Amino acid sequence: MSNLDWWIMCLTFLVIILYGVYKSRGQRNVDSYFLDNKSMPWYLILFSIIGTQASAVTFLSAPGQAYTDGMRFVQYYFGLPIAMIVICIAFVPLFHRLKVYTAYQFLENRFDLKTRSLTAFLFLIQRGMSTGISIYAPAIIVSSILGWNIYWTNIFMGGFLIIYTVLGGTKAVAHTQKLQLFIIIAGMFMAGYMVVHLLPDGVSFSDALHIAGKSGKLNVITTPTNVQDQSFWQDKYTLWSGIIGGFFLALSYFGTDQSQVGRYLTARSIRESRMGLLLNGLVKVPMQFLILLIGALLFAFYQFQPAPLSFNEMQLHKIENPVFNTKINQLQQRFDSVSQLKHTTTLALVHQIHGDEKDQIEQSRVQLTKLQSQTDALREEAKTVIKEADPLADTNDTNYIFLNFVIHYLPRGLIGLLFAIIFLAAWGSIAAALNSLSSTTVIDIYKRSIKPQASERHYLNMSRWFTLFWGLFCIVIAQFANKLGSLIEAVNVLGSLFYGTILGIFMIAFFMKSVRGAAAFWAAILTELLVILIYNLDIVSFLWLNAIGCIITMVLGYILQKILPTKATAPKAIPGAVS
Amino acid sequence: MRDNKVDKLDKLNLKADKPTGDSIREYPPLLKRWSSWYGAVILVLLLLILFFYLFTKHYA
Repeated sequence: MSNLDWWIMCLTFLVIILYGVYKSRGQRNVDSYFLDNKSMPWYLILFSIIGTQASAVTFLSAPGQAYTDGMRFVQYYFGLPIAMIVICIAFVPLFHRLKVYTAYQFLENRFDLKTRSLTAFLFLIQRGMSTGISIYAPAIIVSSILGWNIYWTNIFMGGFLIIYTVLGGTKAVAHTQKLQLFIIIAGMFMAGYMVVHLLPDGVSFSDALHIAGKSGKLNVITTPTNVQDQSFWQDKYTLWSGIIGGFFLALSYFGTDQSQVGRYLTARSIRESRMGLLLNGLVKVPMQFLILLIGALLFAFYQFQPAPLSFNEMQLHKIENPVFNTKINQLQQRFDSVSQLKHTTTLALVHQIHGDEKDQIEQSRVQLTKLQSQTDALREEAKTVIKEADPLADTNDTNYIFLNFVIHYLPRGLIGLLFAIIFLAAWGSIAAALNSLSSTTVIDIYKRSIKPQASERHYLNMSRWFTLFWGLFCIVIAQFANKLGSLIEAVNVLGSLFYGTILGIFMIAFFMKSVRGAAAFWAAILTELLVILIYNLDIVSFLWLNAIGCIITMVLGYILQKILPTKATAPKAIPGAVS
Repeated sequence: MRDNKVDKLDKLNLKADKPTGDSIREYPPLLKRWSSWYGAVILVLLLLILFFYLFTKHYA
């Protein structure tokens, strides 16, 4: 990176940190620290919800995902708007009326302390681990591309945001997320514009779409119909799994995960919470579509420019053994000659599209598909060689595609801004996670079970200490993540394994008034075992586990309530609720 | 007695849109009812899916 890139990157960080510290003023108690005295308008809720969900990996992975697999990933978000409506109807009024700090407080009121504590504990473990990984995942990519030390990159990625998150709590998190999101959106638009701008003369935006479409990269909607076919259930991104599985996933995430619930609990009214959530339902799908479109356009761009054999070029440079180096060089030569053919065929295709020569277009499309298969096969061979040279190497280069383009093709200044965006996206989601980890620790564990009778000042200080603790904990997890290779995948699976059950508990709480604490608790335990069994048998893709976990918890809860002996329990007040 | 009954309903029946207390003043902006907003969100989703379907077909 040039000096200009460094200046722009450092200036962006400085502005965000100073703005966060400036917004940190006026925290006097836990109410202001975690809920900002319930004063936030709908647009801040909207920015905060989007900023929390969109992590750095979202902006790194999505374009790469579209480049390799096409745009069908967008279907993953189709269930989200429907989930927003259910949350607005069922969750928001209840949480506001009960004046809770965390989603789990409600569970004690509805069931009992053990159900509340179990759910809060599961959240802390899962969110703490996954936040550590969400520091490590972008850090390893940035450090690999820029040649930085991974340990310092982790500290940079997860460290500076702790300053304003500890000082300012929810208020600082939401206001910095607003600013971060403006910078991120502006930067991504500039990157998208540059991809089109850098296409050869005579190749327009529409031509790029035709090239991507004819290569199968604009497969936004995929609708398999054969239910008996195994691939129907194992295909991760289809219209059906997106609407049904995505609905349950979004309902679990936005309705029961404190990192999101904590955002809309800060709204000044039910109206503001609902508007933030509904507008998220309106903008999320188009936003994700546009990010994926950058990846599809990148695919078209690389039909005219030589793409690297592996987008993680550092892996190729690391190979020292001359035998493997020779193999890679031979593969590179074959790759270059196929790429040259692709270039010529794609240019011919563009002319045929301009002349509306249908038969020739079809011939070129078939030819391009064959050439693409050849380059894909050569890339796979290169991965095999990399793996032989270094068995610990991560050969999946999907997450490197976008930044590889940024570093090689964007002008000075914009490179610094795009790298800053990766850090800002990480900061937004990590800050919200730290805030939610602290609120759950203080409200559901410390204040409820360890020290219930202390002053407001004491709880405020402890909230800050716990935010700092979780920040350091997540950085430590990130530092060790490189030794736990498959943990990234394991944490993603972990989320899906538990979300369905937790959502099931909340669904019972909301809609099955006859089911009490013991039945819900044991239903959750049994369902969890079943979900783990289904996962181990590899019957369905992970997205379906959310729906399965939720439904089984509800059914088992109903059955167990009929079987288990009942005892009358009077509704309780919620300890720790805002009075 | 009646208060107790309402309290119990509040906590166990959990009617989301019960027009009591503050929620009675929570009218949505622009549209008259929240259900209109929910319908609008579903409509936009359906239109997006239709647009994506035509987009996929057109460029394939």
